[in-house]
Amino acid sequence: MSAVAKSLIALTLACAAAVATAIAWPSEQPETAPPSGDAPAPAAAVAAPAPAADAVARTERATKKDESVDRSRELELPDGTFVPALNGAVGASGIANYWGPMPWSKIVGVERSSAGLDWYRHEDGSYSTTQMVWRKDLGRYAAMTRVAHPGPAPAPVAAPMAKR
Amino acid sequence: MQSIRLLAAGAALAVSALSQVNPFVFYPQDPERQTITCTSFVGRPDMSARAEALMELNVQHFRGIGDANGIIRLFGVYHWLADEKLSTIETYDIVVRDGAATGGPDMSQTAELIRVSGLTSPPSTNPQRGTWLMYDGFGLSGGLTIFPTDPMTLAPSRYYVGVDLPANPLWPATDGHSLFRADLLNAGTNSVFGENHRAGAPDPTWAGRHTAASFSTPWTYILGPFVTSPNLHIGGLDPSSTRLGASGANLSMNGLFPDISGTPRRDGLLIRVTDNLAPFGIVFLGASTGFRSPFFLGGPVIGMSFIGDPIQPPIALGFAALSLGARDFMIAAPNTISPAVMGQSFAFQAIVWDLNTGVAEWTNAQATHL
Repeated sequence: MSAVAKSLIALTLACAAAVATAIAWPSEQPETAPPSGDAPAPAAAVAAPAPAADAVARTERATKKDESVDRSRELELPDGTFVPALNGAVGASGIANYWGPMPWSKIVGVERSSAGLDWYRHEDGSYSTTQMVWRKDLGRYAAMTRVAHPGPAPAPVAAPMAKR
Repeated sequence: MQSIRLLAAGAALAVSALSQVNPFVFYPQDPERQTITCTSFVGRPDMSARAEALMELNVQHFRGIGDANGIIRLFGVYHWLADEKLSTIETYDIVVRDGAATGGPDMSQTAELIRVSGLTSPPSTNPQRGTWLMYDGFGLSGGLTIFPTDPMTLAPSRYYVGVDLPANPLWPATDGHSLFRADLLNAGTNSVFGENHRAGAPDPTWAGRHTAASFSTPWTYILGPFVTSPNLHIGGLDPSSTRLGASGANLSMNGLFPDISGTPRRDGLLIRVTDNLAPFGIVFLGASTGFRSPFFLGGPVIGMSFIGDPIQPPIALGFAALSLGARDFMIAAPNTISPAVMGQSFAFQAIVWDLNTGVAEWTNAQATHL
């Protein structure tokens, strides 16, 4: 076996070991932490006074109330707030999922297209919407989340080409 | 918070506000992170007639696109919509379909893995031509699932992702929807910019027609499916070419079919890994001599290896951090690959480790055919 091949195999094993060790670390961290009596408490936990029983109850009620809110007809924005989903969409995916790597731009209005579809207009000229579409593969209607960012000027139009 | 990758892999239905998707686009430049200078023209697959603009995803070239532990999950379609008159909306379908046994797309209705009909471009008062970057998402709970038909490839031998454009007699004179495209050298269109592959490379896209025979088209599109897995593309480096319109590597046909003949080209190669979900993740890059049988590493690594297993481990090519969702790895500078290896194929694949969640995922694997 050549020295190059040996070094490649060694590098492979090193990479694999690094991946395995590094990837496993976050999930194993709680298991490897010392018993609670030995572990230093986070500073915030030490500083915070023990909450009164009624404060805990209020917090729990608020949490439960938030969790009970039906968000299925709303669209989640990247900051965790919600706006109404458009065009009767139910269960639309959060807009961050389809915004792409561009900086977020706030919603400044709603416009209806000539197709009768409502779109959110964003400050940077982007548009976004939700709509229900028939999904044969699912056998039901499902929500789509759609984003359109303004792009560069189009290239010239292609001339007709003989079909090959 | 769980990573969307775990959710996707487990086909869970929750929505993560912080997660995103990656468009798997096969084009000379990265449309999400690079200024596009390589476009030849905007065009339609069959001029003003109705046809589907289809990109072919072929297991001879790609494995593991949208791999969620052995199944394919697609979460929408991305494309750049060029409109000759923005103030009139355009209507289109998005479609994913199976391949025909005889080659090319199967245009029967039963071969449609998904069709979403009647999508429209956004409103505008601008009567000029312009472009929309369309992110048409199925939703993270509504992804299209494609089950493997071959245990060796975990994908159909070929499937097609595209946009169905209705007939539009107004195009291109006064109105109409077309796509950004990069023409092959042999397209016969006198394009200044575009693809830069070696002679004899097959067409990468198709005009899918419903009432006549479909035909392949000699260009690539800014078009592709959304996946939650990270992407890997092989770039070709030809310093004698100006077809990119800028410096850098051609991330599509030049990487898939580089010219290393030495008569006169001897292209170099680089690998580009991209990921919106872990834009500062750590990339571990590997390679093998051709694709290998799928191997599930397990644990927190989502997806399958197509470049080796513990018995035949991949060749490790190093690791580096993504920066703003992308990282290029130089594999071979121009004029360094020996023409003696012509005819061989190599496969590349990487793992992206998300430091925030501890989850790692395989990119797709891609071949380069020397």
